[in-house]
Amino acid sequence: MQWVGAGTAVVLLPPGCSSRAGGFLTDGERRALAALADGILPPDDTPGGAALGAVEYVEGLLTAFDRAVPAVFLGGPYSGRQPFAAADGTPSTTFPPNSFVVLQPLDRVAARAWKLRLYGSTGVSGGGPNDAVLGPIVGLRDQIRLGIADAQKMAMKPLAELDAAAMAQLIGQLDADFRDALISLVSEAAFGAPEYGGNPAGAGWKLARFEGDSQPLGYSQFDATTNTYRERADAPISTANPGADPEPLDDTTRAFLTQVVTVLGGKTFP
Amino acid sequence: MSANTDPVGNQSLDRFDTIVIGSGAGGGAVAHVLTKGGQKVLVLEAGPNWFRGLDDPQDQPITVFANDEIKLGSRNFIVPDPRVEPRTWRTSEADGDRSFTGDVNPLPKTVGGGAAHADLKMPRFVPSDFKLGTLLGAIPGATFADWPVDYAALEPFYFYAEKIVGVQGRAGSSPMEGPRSGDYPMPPGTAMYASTRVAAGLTKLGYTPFPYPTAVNSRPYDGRPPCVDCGFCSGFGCPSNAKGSPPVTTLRRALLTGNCLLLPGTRATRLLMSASNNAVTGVEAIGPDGAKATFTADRYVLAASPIEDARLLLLSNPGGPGVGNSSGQVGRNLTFHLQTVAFGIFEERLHGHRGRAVDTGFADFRGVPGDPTRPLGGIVEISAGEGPVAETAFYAQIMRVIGFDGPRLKRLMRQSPGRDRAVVLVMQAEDAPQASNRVDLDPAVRDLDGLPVARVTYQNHAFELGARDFYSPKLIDILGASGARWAAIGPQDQIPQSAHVMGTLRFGADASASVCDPDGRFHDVGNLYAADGSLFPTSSGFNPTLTIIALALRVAGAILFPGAPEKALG
Repeated sequence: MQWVGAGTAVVLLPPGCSSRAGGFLTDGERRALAALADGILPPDDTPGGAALGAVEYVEGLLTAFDRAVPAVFLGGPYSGRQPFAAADGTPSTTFPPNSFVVLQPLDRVAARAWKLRLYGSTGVSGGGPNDAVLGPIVGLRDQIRLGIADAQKMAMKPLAELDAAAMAQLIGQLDADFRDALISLVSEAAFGAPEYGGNPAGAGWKLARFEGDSQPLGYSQFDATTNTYRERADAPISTANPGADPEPLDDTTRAFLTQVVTVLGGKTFP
Repeated sequence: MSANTDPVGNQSLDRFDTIVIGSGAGGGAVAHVLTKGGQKVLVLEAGPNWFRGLDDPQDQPITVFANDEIKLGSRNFIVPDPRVEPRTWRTSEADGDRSFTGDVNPLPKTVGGGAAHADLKMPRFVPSDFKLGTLLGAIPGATFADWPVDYAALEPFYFYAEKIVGVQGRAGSSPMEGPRSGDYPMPPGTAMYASTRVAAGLTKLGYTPFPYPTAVNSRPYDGRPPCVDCGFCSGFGCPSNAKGSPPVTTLRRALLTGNCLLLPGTRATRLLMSASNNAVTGVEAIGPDGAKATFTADRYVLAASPIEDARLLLLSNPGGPGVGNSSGQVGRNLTFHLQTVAFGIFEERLHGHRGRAVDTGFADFRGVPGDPTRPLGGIVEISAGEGPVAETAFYAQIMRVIGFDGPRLKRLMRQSPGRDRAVVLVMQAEDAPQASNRVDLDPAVRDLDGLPVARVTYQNHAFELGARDFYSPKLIDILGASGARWAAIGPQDQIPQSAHVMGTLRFGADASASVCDPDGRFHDVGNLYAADGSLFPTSSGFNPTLTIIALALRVAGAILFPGAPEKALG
């Protein structure tokens, strides 16, 4: 797997520091959020949610409007992590520039949607279009801040001081909407494009055995000299992976899968 | 205003023959045919434009679509945000005003519409699909009807559509397919390991897998490059233009004629009507800056998708029955496909994230109309896992039922049963049309501009639920025969989520039972047409996009050559 180009990736926020312009969370909130992120995706011999950039990712999103072009949609089409193919379909040594780092403008509708999404009805002039019928929209900034405060209250000590068992119990007791939001955000941080502020140097993709964005090289390379496709030996499409499975299913996961398909009325085949 | 709402095409045009509302599969096809025929066409698109250079004759357009799960999957890059553009849903009037407000069959709002992000599976419908009124006879509660055009009449348009967007496939490989006037323009590309495993299982059980027709280049075609099987396919726009989506095919051709102007970020809000309500005199819209504008032309074509087309007709006649609605059928007979999702998990890694979303399918479960031993299901797509953010969401969904467990989530992400070892079979089953399944305006819920949103009243009929029950165990057994260790049917969404949206303005010869005539023109309004999935009287059991394009080509052909629409293909 190639990481050429990753060095030029612009991480949307500098690593955590105490009081920085454009930040949203306090240091205490950052530490608490890091602890919660590790509760969602715990560290083992691979990084957990915090080391995978959850705090940086979340704060980058919550402060998206602090930038001239809101930091919501990255650009494209290519990140520069993969090269162009040569005419015969083999990888060339030419890499495209990283256009993921170019923020995309929000049109009138998207700007309104994202302000409501982040700041809620009370934080946007005029509020949401259906506040009278459906109640006000709670913004993500408030949801994260209040969710962290509630979690702190439940724990009765700093979240960073909870051991793994206590954190697991706490996560189980969180408000379901806050927990769902945390799961989504931690997963986006861990497994999304690094340019959004998480997944440092593709560490999340590495633990998930996922090659990440693959364009423009891709997996099928068309050889214009012979008018045929060829596949990559290291990452084939139509055949099994070469070599042994780096991380096969274990019996715990097998039992879990059996439980899931049983609940759904499916089948386990011998 | 931002650059992605800048006008595209010939900005010196000052009068238009036709205004097309919507730039997706249907709108792009109409714009292509009419501009080729010399008409001046204005295309209004509610969403932004994520391409640069769509009107550049020298170079291929450049897009910001990318292998990016966050903006496409999590951040509503092209799909409407329900905070500002919700829809509402209920099963029937007995539920009250609504049971749910939020995402109800949201199709992308962007230049290219729902066809910009789709993986562009493009099978044709089969000949019997056009005759289900006759072949099925009366079914209580359902409103099956024959199409006013049959397969033979549509075939030249299918053939042209396959060429214009560039469909890969293998003629004769699907036992159900109708006669073709020629082969697919491109051969099938590389098949995924996962689909080769399922194809072997299907063959073992006596079924017939075939290469899935998709508008994806397997060769350099029409100036666009071959697909590299990057894996970010369904739900992602194509970074390289290898997918034949409307912006880089039909719409681009229209823009390059010099006869077309495309206005992104321009939301049609009302058709202005003549005093006698039988002609459209203009369309009111809200532009990218939020200001109102009125556009006029000789004729108007609705191609904003069935739900938004019906909404616009109702918004245009406040307090009345809706424009073009003397039949009372506007908004009715809304269909989706009932999607039955069977997932199988293998011990080995199948790496389904490498490849197109779907490269192989089978149609053995389409059934035979009227044969109770072979109920009408639909084509089955063989797909596999995509990105890890979606994978986490899959596990989180399971854990919402059985309880969240962080260490388990981590273990699952490392071992990846739900992505790297997964196969997903999706059956797109015929959805029995029902008059009570309909679109109207929600009495209280509004969009960001204060306009009533579409309310979908919808519940399944025993017809499709029976087919689902009939074929579900067979889908599980196919996965078992293919080597899956675990297999099950995913829970059915109660709120319909299929992106295959059809009906609401069904076409037919009888003005009392249909909204549009056999050429797609409104029975009641002489200069108003529909040219998208809204015309479909029935849903078939095959992906609708190619049929939307073929039908839209025909509607535009009939505008140029009344009585001889195929002349427009020359």
